Amino acid sequence: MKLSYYPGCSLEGTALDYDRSVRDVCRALDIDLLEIPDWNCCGASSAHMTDHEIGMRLPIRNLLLAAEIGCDILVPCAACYQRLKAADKALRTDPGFWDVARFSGDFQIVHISSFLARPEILAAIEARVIRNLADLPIACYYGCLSLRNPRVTDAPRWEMPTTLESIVAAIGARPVAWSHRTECCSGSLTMARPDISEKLVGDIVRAAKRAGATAMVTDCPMCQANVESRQPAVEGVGDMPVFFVTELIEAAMSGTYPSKQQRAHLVPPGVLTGIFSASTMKKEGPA
Amino acid sequence: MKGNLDGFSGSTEHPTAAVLVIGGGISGMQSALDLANAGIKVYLVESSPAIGGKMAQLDKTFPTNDCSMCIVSPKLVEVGRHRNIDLFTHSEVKGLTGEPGHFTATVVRHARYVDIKACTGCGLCEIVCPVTQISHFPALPAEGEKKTRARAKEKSIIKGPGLPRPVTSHKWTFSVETTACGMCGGCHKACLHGAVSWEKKQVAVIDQEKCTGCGACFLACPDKFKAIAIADAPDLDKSLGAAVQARSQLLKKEFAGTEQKDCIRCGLCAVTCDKVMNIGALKMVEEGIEAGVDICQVCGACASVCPVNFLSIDQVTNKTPRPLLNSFNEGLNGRKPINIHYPQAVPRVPVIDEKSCVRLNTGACGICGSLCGVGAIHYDHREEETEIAIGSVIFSPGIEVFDAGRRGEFGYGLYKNVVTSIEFERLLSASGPTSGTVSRPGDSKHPKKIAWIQCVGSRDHSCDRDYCSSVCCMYATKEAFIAREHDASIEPTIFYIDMRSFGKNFDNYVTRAKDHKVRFIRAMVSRIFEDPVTGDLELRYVDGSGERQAETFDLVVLSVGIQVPQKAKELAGKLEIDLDRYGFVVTDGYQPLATSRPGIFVSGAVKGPKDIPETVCEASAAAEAASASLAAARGSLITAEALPPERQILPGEELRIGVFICHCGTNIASVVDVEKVVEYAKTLPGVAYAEHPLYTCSQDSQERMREIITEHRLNRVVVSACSPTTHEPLFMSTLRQAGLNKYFFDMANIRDQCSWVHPDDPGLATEKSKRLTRMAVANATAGEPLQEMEFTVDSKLLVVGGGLAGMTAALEAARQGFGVYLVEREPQLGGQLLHLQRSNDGRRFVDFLADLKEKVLHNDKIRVFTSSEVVEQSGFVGSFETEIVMPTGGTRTLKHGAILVATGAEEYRPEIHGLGWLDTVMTQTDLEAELEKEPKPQWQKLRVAMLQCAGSRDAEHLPYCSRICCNQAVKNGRRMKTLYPEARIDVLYRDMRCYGLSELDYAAARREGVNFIRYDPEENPVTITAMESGIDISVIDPSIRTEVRLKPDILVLSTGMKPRDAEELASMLRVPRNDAGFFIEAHAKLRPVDLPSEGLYMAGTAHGPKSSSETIVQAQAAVARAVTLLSRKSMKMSGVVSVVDPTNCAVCLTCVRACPYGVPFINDQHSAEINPALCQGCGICVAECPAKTIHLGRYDDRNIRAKIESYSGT
Repeated sequence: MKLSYYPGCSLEGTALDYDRSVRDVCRALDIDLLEIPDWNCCGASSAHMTDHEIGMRLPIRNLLLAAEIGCDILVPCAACYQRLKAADKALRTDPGFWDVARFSGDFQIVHISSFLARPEILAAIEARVIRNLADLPIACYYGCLSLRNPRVTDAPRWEMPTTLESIVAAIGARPVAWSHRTECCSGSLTMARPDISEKLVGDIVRAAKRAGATAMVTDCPMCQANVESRQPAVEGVGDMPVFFVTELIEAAMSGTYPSKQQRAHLVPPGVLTGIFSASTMKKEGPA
Repeated sequence: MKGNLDGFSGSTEHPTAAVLVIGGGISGMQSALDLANAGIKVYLVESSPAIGGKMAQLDKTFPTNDCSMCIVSPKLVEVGRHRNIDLFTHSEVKGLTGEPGHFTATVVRHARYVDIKACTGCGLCEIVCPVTQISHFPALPAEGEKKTRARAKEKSIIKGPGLPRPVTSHKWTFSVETTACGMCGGCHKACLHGAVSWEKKQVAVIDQEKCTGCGACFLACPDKFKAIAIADAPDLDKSLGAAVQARSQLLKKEFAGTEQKDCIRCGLCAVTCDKVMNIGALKMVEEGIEAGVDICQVCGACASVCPVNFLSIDQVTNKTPRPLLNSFNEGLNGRKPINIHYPQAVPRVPVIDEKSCVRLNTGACGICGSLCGVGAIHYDHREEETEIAIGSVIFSPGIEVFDAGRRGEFGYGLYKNVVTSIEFERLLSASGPTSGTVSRPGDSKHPKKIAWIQCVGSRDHSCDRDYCSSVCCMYATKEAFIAREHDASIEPTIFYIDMRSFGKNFDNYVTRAKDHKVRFIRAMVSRIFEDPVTGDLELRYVDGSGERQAETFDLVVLSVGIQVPQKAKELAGKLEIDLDRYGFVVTDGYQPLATSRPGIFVSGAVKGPKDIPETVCEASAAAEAASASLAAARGSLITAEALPPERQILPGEELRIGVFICHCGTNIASVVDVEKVVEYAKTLPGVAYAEHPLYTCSQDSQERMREIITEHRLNRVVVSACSPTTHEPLFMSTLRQAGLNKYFFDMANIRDQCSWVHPDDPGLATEKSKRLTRMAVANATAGEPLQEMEFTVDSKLLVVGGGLAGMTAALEAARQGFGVYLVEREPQLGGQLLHLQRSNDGRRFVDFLADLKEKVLHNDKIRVFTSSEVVEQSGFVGSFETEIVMPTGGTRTLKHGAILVATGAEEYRPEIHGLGWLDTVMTQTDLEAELEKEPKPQWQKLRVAMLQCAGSRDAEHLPYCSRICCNQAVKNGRRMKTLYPEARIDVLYRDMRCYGLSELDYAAARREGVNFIRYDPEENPVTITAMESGIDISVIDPSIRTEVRLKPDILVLSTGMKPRDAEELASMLRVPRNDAGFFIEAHAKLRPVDLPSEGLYMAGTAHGPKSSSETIVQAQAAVARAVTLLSRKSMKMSGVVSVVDPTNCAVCLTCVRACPYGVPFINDQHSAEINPALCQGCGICVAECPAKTIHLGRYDDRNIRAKIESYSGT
């Protein structure tokens, strides 16, 4: 299988390890990722807040580049996904308005979790797991941008998604039932209004703990950075690591959780390290 | 669109006098009854296994808090027993061909596998069916291949806390048949108790002393030998499965209440799995039960037959069990593959579910078939296609509720303690899954704080449900109210947008709910968070002051809206009738029951959301519309019952009583010793015959009862069985068929009131049955033959009031073939419609009215009396005399069989805010008239303020909601915007009550720029100063939380409707009106157009405020009801009526005052007299009469005394 790949800026910065795990997981699953050549900013963050035109033209350029490859585009970052979808919808409705002569649009923009939760991909992952996550109670956290607004994202269950749950269940973790899965993490306010961020992150982490989770998993680089980085300032929380979904898949499929990856976390990922130090190899030799 | 008013095109000279009614809910049932009682044959097709529809699922009904089932079940019984209604349940309409008057419909009866005629509804099959899950059936062998059983690869041992403790109670005897024994030793190895001795090449022998009866040997013996025989097993003659159930029941009784946690090694699970289900996944081993978890078909039978709940289904399989859920209870509890739809179902006959029945899928099991006492179960049933000839069709398939999962923010389906309103109805219902205990599905805890969230799937553009569902505000209020009745500690809260309590007496109901501590919060809940530990639910919303709020509740009920089911849409497609974008049937406001295809009519919520009374009203109206063009052939397809002459019982004739003590399958006989009761009954004085039929009510038992009555020359009959409410009419008609007066009968209820309530004390229950039977025998002994008076019916109808309702009714009655007198007080016909301009779809009333008047005035069946009034009224149902005063001053007496009151209402004109003396202040009707005049250039930028509820919902003016004003304001606002786009319109409202599809107009008005500002007379009153110098209005607009000041050029008051003066008429007719002056219906829910006295009906705004379209519906409904009377040549009244014995009458007037129907009067002989035709047989006068000189048929002192004396005697 071949997919175009749009990493976006986060995956070249704060979420460098996310980018690496996405590529590694895809490689293991025999999926060729063709990085869109000369891709540019997706138009999220400052662009679309400042100027609607810029906010649209930036992702449109990316789409036109991707159109030349013609494959579906895999997008790990929730914000990038949202902007590319918005541009895609605009081009499909009226390409002429954006000075585009023709837009065939015969490729899809695919968000990472809905891609990995496809039954055939899930089965491939399950088959390659060599060390399962030993019933790790984990809170699946989606945040907002990959789901809402549903008219842009086309998410079928934008209030009650289940993709992360089915992925982590396939690698042997135990998704907990909790209610803050799509709450706002305040990623866009984390610099400007840390007071708000601390409150919202506190609410989310406390809710995850109450549900019995010892870790969180997400597919959004902003959520991951924000929920981990704001925890130390909030009383009573601070020990809830937030994993990328591909990070967990890679660990389960490789059977190792390297110390380099452990150091990428601001909250120590002790719960996962613990599992990998214990003997939970699925395909062990004769004892 | 061709409609009901114009009749059909094409030939209807000899139409088929039959109607196909699609859907057996309250709508279809009412249509069917009104048609069948008016001489039209009915075919009623219902897709589910029983009629009753959504109404049967409800607990109580608003605004009277009547029990839904109690008021609907007489209708169910009447439909089920009606000789001119052919019921097709579990059936579907496949197609329709032909023309109006001559259609042919193809109806498919799905295979039910139970014979409706033979089945008595005892429910035994459902009890003995051991299957509780959706099974994974083993693949059937390919053709020609031999069936082989799968062998287990994955095994699991199920253990208790201790080792199995074998019991030998009710044990079967196992023995080896010497001739068949293959001497293999399998049995010897399988026996865990060393009870089988065997040596090579020797026949095995079972030591009965050591044997515990577990059957391990029986299971181990290879099929090719079948050498182990079973004896001493009750019901083994029926089937092995039946024997398993019999022993299981006995052991369950023995272990009831004991804390047995270990396996008792009865072996029933393994026997069932191997020999009944033909799977063989279970095996008895030392530690417990070994389960082949990979070959288990997950049917649940092993767990069902286990007498001590040692096995649970999840232990015996590696698959996730999927329990069979009861759809009638909204999936809140389980069901069996053979299932009676609900306890009061009509027909009370189960259906076997093809998807889950083991017998139908694998050929194994078959327990129900082997145990059915009347042989009603046929596994070889196939679906049958029937063609039926009909003249017209009524489409009333009903609605379903919105899928609450689509509003993901409420977590329905994920959060266990979030339920839908229909689920909550089942939780409230006494016959529901919790027997009426309000408990949380998550943990069965009793909730204290319960929240209702309104408009889930209503008024919601995001999920394509833009319309208002009309019923949710009221049902939520009712559910909250009733929940508190169940448990006074419950604190209900209702979150809503507008409180749409627009129906008759609805506002009073909401006020009562508020008095009963139901809290109403005007806010939309944005999200629900579930506490994963407690299961409690946190609701977030923004309150009236703009503050964000969070509040925790124990249970949340989503007030789901209603929608048209996909299947109904598909059927509409097959019938080629037009639907709107939501699937509701499109109709014309002037012909509200006609669909786009001539000859097909529509009724109920499939035409737009509506509540039960409106549905019942529409159902009657659809019956009228569908039958009007068939009237020429009325009576041609119905059958009348032929009866033998009644045998005269001579005075002094020997008493010969026949007593029938019913087994009711096992319902009675499993507790009460019916044979003993029969023996006892034979000893009672006068009893000539007694027996104990298995099912007294079954077809063959009734045949037999008729023969016995003749053969033994019985002159009294007593049946001790179930409830007289459901079965007495059946037995009484059998008496009559045998030539006996049907009042020589009495019934004792030894099921509901004895065996069902005393299952633990059979001895005393038998004694009680004897006593109840003795009392019934005593009563029958005291019985007298009662005569049912018969009198002829005058076929003419008197309509009082010549407005829209009266004229429509007159025309329709004439189309039905009956003469009409139409009496109007004013010089010209038209009523309030003369003052109105346009219908909601924009057509001018004046054209419609002219056409209507023309038709009425030129119809030779209708006599119109204008400027005339009713001055005197006498007579009784079927034979009334009414005197009217004509414009000349002369009087005239009209004779007629029925009366239809359509006296109407008018616009209320209170003297408030300058109405009447300021040119700038007017009512909505005035504005409507202004908008019809020449366009006024000075109105281009007119500023208009409309004040809703001006004099409505106000204790000092009209205390009620007038229902139409919100829609009228929206209509006029939009018209204003069309004519004068730059005009500014502000509507000041309390609740916008744009119910049903008119919500779409309200939304359109907002889009078009009409401005809506909410006020509240107490918390946020409007200040209005209206002077000649100008109008000044100030109010706080809650949506911007700022005071706004308006200086409109004109102020339009929505003043509401008040009934016209009909006080004298009401007292002449002796019919009640409410405080506001609207006529009160016979029953608020199910008889919405009947007045409480027989033969009197009403229509239009005399009943309560309503739109023109609703008025037309009601007029047609009232005609349908009247036709059920007028179409009869004669009528029989019940024999149970009060009779005054003049000898002792003291003329004290007690009866005159006590009678709720105003029947007794003092005759010229100076005695009270009761007209039997008017008497309702309630017995109030009998109880009140101080001289004890009034007698009432079966309920005389003589009867009651006989019963009481026999109760205390021995």
